[in-house]
Amino acid sequence: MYRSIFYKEWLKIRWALALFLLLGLIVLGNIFLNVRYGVRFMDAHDYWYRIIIQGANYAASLKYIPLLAGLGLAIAQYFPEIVSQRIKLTFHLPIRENKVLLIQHGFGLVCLLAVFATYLLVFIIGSAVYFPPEIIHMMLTTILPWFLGGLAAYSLAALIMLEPLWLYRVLYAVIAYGFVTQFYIRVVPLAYTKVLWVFALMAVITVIVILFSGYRFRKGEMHHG
Amino acid sequence: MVKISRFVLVIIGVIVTAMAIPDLYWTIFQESRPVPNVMFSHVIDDFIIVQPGEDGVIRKDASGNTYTSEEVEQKLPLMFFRQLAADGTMPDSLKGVPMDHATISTHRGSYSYIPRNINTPEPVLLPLIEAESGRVGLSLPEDFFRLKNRIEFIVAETNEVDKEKSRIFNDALLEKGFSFPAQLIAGIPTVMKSKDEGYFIKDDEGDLYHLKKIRGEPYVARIDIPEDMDIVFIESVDMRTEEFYAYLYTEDNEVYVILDEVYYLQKLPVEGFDRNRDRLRIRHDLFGKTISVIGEDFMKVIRIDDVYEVIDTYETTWEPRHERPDHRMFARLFPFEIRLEIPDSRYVGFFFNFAHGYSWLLLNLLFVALAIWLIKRKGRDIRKNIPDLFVILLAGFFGFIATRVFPNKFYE
Repeated sequence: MYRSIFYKEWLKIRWALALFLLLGLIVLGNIFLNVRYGVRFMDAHDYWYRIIIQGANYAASLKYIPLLAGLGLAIAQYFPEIVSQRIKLTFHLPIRENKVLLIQHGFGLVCLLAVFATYLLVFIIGSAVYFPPEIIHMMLTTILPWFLGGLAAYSLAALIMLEPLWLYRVLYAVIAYGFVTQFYIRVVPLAYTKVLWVFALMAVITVIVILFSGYRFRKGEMHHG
Repeated sequence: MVKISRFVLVIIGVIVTAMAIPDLYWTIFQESRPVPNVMFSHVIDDFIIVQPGEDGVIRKDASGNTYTSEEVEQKLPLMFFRQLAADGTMPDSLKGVPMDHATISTHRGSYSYIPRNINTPEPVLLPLIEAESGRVGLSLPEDFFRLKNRIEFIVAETNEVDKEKSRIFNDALLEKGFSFPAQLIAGIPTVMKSKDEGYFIKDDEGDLYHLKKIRGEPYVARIDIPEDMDIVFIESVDMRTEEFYAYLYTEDNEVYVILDEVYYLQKLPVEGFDRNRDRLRIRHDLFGKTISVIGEDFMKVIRIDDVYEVIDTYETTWEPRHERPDHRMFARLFPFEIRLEIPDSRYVGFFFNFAHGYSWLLLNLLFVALAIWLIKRKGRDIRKNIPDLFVILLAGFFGFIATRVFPNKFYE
């Protein structure tokens, strides 16, 4: 039973996953080509100075990639469900509806996390070639909110798409926009240090909101016949 | 589970509205109240206060005499010497001291402290700049150092530790009794300054050290500080007069300067200053310094001479923030606001600003009544909506919006 759910989800999202994995790797490749250029052809200590003292962020072009990946994955996974109202069928499976929704969403989330983990791993390995642990740690603290924002965006996009009424879709989108922008404030490196765990918690608890939309979707279906 | 998921959404709704709506409110209604500018005149031996107000700028001295803009300039020749020289009204001497432009200019300077100075992420590695290279300009070294369980210089080009240099500097620190790891390190890590004075470092025992690199060799000095002094912040300054290296702040909110060469800690007379709340504004001139301690609703100005003796003080107060019309109206509308960024910190945080007093309670109760009416109109059970009503009671407008956007039982 679970296996077939996973398989169905996998069929929906595999191309989106591959696309965003590739996109992220291209951006990371570009980042490290720039770093390599900076260290080799400019003065390495000047390049370090810009990062450590002046707060230049060499990973800046990665900023919205996790957000795009989160949104893209949510669309790939939930858009087919709403156009053909296929999710109705899901709710007829012999498992409890909430459980199915959580399994579906959890599967998508694990795939998204795998993509993010790949990005981060490549980022750490690439950075370790040119920089000491202090700089890597500083950069991770600075870019992690972008990834947490991508996670929150994934769950909130699912919420918006599964909502049956357009008025509420718009209202959710406004709130979701205000929420997700918190992860992308333009600030000095390390600025998120003290609240990273709060943001992580916020991104994690957002996962559960899928149940609310599932509930409304079900009731909406009944209502509209 | 569905209830929990709705609860999470309501919380998200409250957070977002409690940030966005007050932000909009302040954009429209915030009134600016400029802090008076208080300077010391050596011509009249009194403070001159320049206060922008609703009916234009008021210029007066501490005794109450009012002045025009030109008169203020003439009373403050050390500040406006270029204008006075251009007008031909610059005095030849003041208090028996000849007015030489170069000297006046060298002694002029200012420093300001805001709580944001402390609440800022520190650089993770630092450059130790050569202090006596023999060159006119300073240049960045090839390496950056870390100061944890030892001092280590990492060469940027190779991303590897320079073991020999690290050993030499480590030994020099240990020889003077330094105990790792460093708790605090302060300096000016840039070459855009007149000279390099290295770093001031508080070690694990709370003692203070001075570290420089002079012709490639380490220079380490241990600075005597009072036994019970707990240093919380040091801010280095680049003074043309070479009077002192840095400002030093203690746990007890005392402020010192570290005098150049002699390492004497000179205390500044700033009683009542609170480093987490207040600002400091210090102006230097040929004869001494004017120190302003600026709080939310008060300003205390202390004039000291060139040996740090207090010669005059001035105090003024104004209405506290919560009594201003824009803040009073805010407190009637909203119980709190949430900000991620505040002027007092460079760190992102969840800063809750609670409204002063309880005047917001009335509006919150009105929203609760409105919510009850809406529930009743649909013929639903009030008892099932009690958690919502609580949210509205506490979060007012924000709670009302959040509970409407994510409705409880939308379909019957």
